Amino acid sequence: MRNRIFSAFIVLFLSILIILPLSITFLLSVVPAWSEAIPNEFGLIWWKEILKPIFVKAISNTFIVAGLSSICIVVYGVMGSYLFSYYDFSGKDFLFSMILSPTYVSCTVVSLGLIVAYVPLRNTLWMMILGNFVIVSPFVMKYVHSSMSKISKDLVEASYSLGSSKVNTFIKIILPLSKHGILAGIILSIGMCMSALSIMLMLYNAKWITIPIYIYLENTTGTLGIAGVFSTILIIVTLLTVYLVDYVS
Amino acid sequence: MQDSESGVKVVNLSKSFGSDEIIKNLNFQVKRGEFMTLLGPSGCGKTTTLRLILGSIPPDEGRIYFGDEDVTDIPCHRRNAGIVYQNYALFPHMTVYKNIAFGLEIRDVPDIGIKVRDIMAKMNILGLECRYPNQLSGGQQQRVALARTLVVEPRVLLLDEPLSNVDAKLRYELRSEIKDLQKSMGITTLYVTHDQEEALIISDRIAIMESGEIIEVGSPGDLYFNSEKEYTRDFLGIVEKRLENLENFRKSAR
Repeated sequence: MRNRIFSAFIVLFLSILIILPLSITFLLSVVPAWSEAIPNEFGLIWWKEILKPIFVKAISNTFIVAGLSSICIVVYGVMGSYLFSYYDFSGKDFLFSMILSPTYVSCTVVSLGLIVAYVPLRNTLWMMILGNFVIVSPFVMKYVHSSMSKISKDLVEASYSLGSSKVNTFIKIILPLSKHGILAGIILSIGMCMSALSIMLMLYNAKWITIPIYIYLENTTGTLGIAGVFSTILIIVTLLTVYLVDYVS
Repeated sequence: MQDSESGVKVVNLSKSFGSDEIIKNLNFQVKRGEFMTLLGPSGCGKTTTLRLILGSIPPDEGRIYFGDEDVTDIPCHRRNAGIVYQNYALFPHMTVYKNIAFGLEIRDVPDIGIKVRDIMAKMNILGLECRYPNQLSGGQQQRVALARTLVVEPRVLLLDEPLSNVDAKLRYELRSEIKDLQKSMGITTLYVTHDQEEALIISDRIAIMESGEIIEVGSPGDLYFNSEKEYTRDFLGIVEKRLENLENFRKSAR
């Protein structure tokens, strides 16, 4: 009995530890003024504030960068997964490991590499998209490849034997049968690209400030209300993403 | 290499995967309209031979002919060789009707609906049009797989242990149906199995395979009663041993 109470206490403590920062973030967005650590009043003043053009621009930038990045990432993830699932060539395993390697390396390190390697793209929208692409595509590739490689080779062979070309087989057999993995990849990509901070901090330019960068900048200037609103939006997007990925896959 | 009597001809065929030589200089011929079986133990290269003929993997050496035509360099989807697998390989996201119509739709032939229903009637699966593969029994799935392959009238029918996953009673039924359909349609057929009894019953001729090579080719009767090869006698002798065991069991049960 004593052990059970102790276990329950530990679980409760850890849960509070995790949920507390998220709850406070939300609280920041609905408290216009604080006295010490106590909210003076509640209101949606910060939420109204983000309707100003500068903030709307940050939101639209986030969707544009995440959207464009996700299109590239998903197309590459699907084509790459098809290649690694259905073709044999020397060095295939090594190449696949190399492609997945950014998942094990710090985003900051990858960003530094990008800045040095692609000097002409520095401070452009394309560099931000490239950054997302390098960091997020391995995760999407993992999802899609896992789904695609589970399709029986016999199904593909049967399709060929019935007269279906490689392109037709890809469209009519492989894509529909790996749709769960691809959908999960799309959702994951959008979620990760929207909330990417560390890589965007290294690669952004003033024209293309996104929500995570704004949160960081607002936080450094002490304007926590706006940061709270943006954080809440990102938390909702992330939670929705996780839920949708689980649901779809 | 021209031979109008030939349905399928394999000449000096070899295939290796890495350092493993799976098929070693294989030579055999299936006559037009004949039902031939590749019989051998698991891992002897039967299925690889079938996949080489299907065109899903390229040979390292050798040529493959369908009739007079050299198809070695023709891609799988243009060879018109139909295959039926042990695991049925039905497209799980398509209904029975769509599965059977798949090859016809690619060929863009007229009267697809009539052709699909005709073959479904022949295979005794009418009424299952709207079902998905996971809503069918093993026997029904195998009938659909056969219907899907036969409806496009392939030049060569390849059967990769198609009866391994069905029960004994159904196996007996399907065996007769496959043989009857093959005869009535006159399709050159290459059947792969490791089951000696099945090969002896269903085949016009049998090629005994071992370690990527053909040991002997002959009619079931010739191989069973008159083979001079020790491997063939040992391999087919298992049927006799099975019959002996069955007889002994019957005696002990009395």
